[in-house]
Amino acid sequence: MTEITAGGASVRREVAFRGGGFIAMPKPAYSWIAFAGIIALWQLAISAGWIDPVFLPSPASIVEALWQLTVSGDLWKHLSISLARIGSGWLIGSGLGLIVGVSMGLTSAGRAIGMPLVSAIYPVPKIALLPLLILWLGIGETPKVVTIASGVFFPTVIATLAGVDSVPRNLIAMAQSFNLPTRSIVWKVLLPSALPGILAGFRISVSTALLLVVAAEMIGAQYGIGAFLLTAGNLMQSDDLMAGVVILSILGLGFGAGLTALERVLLRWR
Amino acid sequence: MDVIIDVKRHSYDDLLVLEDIKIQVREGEIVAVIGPSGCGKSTLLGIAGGILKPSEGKVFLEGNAPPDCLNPLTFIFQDFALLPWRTVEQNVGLPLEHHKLSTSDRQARIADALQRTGLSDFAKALPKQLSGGMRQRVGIARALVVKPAVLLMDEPLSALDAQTRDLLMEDFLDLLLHERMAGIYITHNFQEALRLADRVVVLSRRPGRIKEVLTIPIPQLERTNKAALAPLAELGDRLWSLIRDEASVADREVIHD
Amino acid sequence: MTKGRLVTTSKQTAPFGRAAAALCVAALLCAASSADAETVKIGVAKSTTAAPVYVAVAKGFFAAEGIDPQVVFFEAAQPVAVAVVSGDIDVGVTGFTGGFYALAGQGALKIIGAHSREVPGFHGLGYFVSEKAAAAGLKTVKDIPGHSVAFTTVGSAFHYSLALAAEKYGFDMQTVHLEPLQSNPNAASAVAGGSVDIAMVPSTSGLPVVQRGQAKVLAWVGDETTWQLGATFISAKTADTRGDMVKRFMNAYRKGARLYHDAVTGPDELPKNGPQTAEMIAIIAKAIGQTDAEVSTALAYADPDERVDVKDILHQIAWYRAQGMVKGEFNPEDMIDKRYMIPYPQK
Ligand SMILES: Nc1ncnc2c1ncn2[C@@H]1O[C@H](COP(=O)(O)OP(=O)(O)OP(=O)(O)O)[C@@H](O)[C@H]1O
Ligand SMILES: [Mg+2]
Repeated sequence: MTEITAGGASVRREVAFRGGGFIAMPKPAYSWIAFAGIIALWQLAISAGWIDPVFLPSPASIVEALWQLTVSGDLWKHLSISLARIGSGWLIGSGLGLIVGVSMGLTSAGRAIGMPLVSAIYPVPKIALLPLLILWLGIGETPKVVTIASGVFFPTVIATLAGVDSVPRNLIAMAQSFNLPTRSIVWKVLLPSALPGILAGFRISVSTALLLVVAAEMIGAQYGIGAFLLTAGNLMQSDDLMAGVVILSILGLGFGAGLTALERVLLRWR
Repeated sequence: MDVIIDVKRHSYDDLLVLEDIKIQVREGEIVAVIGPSGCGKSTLLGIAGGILKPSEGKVFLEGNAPPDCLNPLTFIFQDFALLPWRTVEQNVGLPLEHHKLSTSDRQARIADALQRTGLSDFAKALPKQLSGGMRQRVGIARALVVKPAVLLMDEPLSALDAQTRDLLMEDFLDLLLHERMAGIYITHNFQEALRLADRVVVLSRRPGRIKEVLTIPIPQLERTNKAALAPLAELGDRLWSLIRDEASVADREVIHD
Repeated sequence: MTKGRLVTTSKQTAPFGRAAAALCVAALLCAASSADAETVKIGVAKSTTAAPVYVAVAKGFFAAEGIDPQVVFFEAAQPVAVAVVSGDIDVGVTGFTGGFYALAGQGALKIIGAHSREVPGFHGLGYFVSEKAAAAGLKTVKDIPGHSVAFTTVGSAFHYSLALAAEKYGFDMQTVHLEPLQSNPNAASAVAGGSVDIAMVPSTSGLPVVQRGQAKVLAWVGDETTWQLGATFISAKTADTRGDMVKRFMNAYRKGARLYHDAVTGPDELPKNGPQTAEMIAIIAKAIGQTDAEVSTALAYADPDERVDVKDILHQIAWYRAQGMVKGEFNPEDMIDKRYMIPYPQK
């Protein structure tokens, strides 16, 4: 392609390719191979005696513990109770978070009041407040749901506010120029436009809810994945403990996949 | 229906943007507004359309809007301002949703607007599936659906490539000449101004003041004739000389945002 | 404190607490350390029950045996056992837990001495009853069936104490609503707010609630059911490879226990306020960072020779097994290292 004249003679050289790279290609097979490899190595390390099972139970014993949980019917009991707590806590927390986030995004007063409050309260560790929470709300379902809801509330507020702030102003101006009532502007322009940000917030809040189910079930719970984990930890039953962790991870993966599917449907327009 | 703009002054905080702008646009008349970047053209249009409040001044409508007009002052936006999650027909139908209309009237208006902009086959498409030119057609259809009396256009073609722009400009002209609408057309582009406008308002650099108003004495339909070429070229030179000095100074200003 | 230094760690719960432990070791190395003394890290939960350790450190008994004692505080008993297994701590002095027995059952831990005992007159662990339940007639431990009891965790010392009470009074544990709340403050809070009828917590957590008029003392565990609360323990490896150090450690430790016992215990093994009591209280208060007044209400009983109540331990293990909280086959006798311990005389 390139012709360079050197000493009167024309020399032709091919231009070397220097682009490419810097793009993540989907390679699902790699994930599975790496995952299987780690598990195999782990099992090997224990079978060969390199790692003391006192410190780390083997994958086989974790699977055994999971199997025991399943056949005894306890798994379903723990799961159903925890899912009810996670579900109601998440719904309440993200519902309120959406309302507060939108009000803060829409009104200057809401923002002026809300911003410092959110910044001040969000980083408070909920577990440190458990004694107070118990004093206020007792030890029934309420404090458990409130623990999860309060953890979900703040990331939702922040994501919603960011979503509302990112709504293109010209869309609002367009809606106003057609005399759309304020309520319609919120429902038809603002919320759909903020939806990607809100859904991204849901990813965080769903993980938060899973994290907090353990904290929530510190409060007088006999059943639930969190209670199961805590008991296993207290009794140093490391296979049960890891089985509980696996269940939480699977729940996390499941919720993540659910949200991805939801995004695919709701954000098809992007 | 006429629109009368009488802005004494408009400023953003300390930044004076517009001063002493008086323009009257009559029914059926198209006024192009041209001026260097940042001189306040979009601000002026926003004020005219009632979505910006002037620091001092008023805008009036005079006369009667057509009987089926739902939104006398209607915008067409430079960046189209389409809702990306709505299909073409849903976007076009948006301005009708809060009006009490019979289903048949609603559908007829949408169908008519789509048909006049050549979008009938794209009713179910999402904006992301359309080219820039088609998207602006959706913006135009959305404006037509309310049967406006005054069309406010802020550089509606500047986001498009040159060929699309030329094609769409003819369609625009067609629409504007067939309705008895008043039109304000903001542009950077002399060709557009000379092709579409009955009068051209030239603004000075910021703070924008009316520097000159040029009347183009040739009817739009005759402007493609050979005979019109020379006088139009002359008007073009005139416009360019009016704006050149302003533009070169404006270009060197520090932007105050 | 003449010789040893007290080091506070934050909550060490992970079995891989080495990094955290390494941090505090590094901190210790920066401080001047006695040249030839053998460093021994002693893991305790931050409470009055490890009093003999603090006394032996403060009085220089360890130093006299050529040991440089480094007391590492943990937020709970369980992580101490884990840290001893992992080798981050040389000697643990804490209460028993289900987790302790699970680790010991796998042969990882060896009991070499006692820890505090729950005995009459000493106010270690208590039953605290809410004002509401007290008014409604909950007056003694016998009345507990049908009521709710909050405590830290399933398999904790409180859970076991309650099971002993159930044995003693012949009530069924199934009739008690157990509410594990994971921490003493949580349990104290629950009884203060009246959401449970009883909280079983240490006196240090319970008495402030009583002083605020939000609960009453129902009974003390020591008065109701005597039992050995915990142990002094080492890893199996330490037991086999560092026998000399362990013997010297126990000598110094027993000296501390004797001094402490004689200072706070009078005839019939009941608490007394003698000439040396105040000094002991001051040593403990300084070690665990509480006021003298707080410590004086929570003095724990210590056996003067740190003798191990083997029969009691076997009884505990049988209970944990029956609950399914300790699994696997093992001989409980194997977890007691007879080379170092002195058995408690059986009646
Ligand atoms: N909301 C605002 N707040 C503060 N300053 C603004 C605001 N909108 C516009 N301006 C400033 O006012 C001046 C006029 O802006 P305007 O958008 O009306 O100019 P324009 O003539 O439309 O420019 P362009 O040719 O670039 O579209 C510019 O200097 C701009 O930076
Ligand atoms: Mg503009």
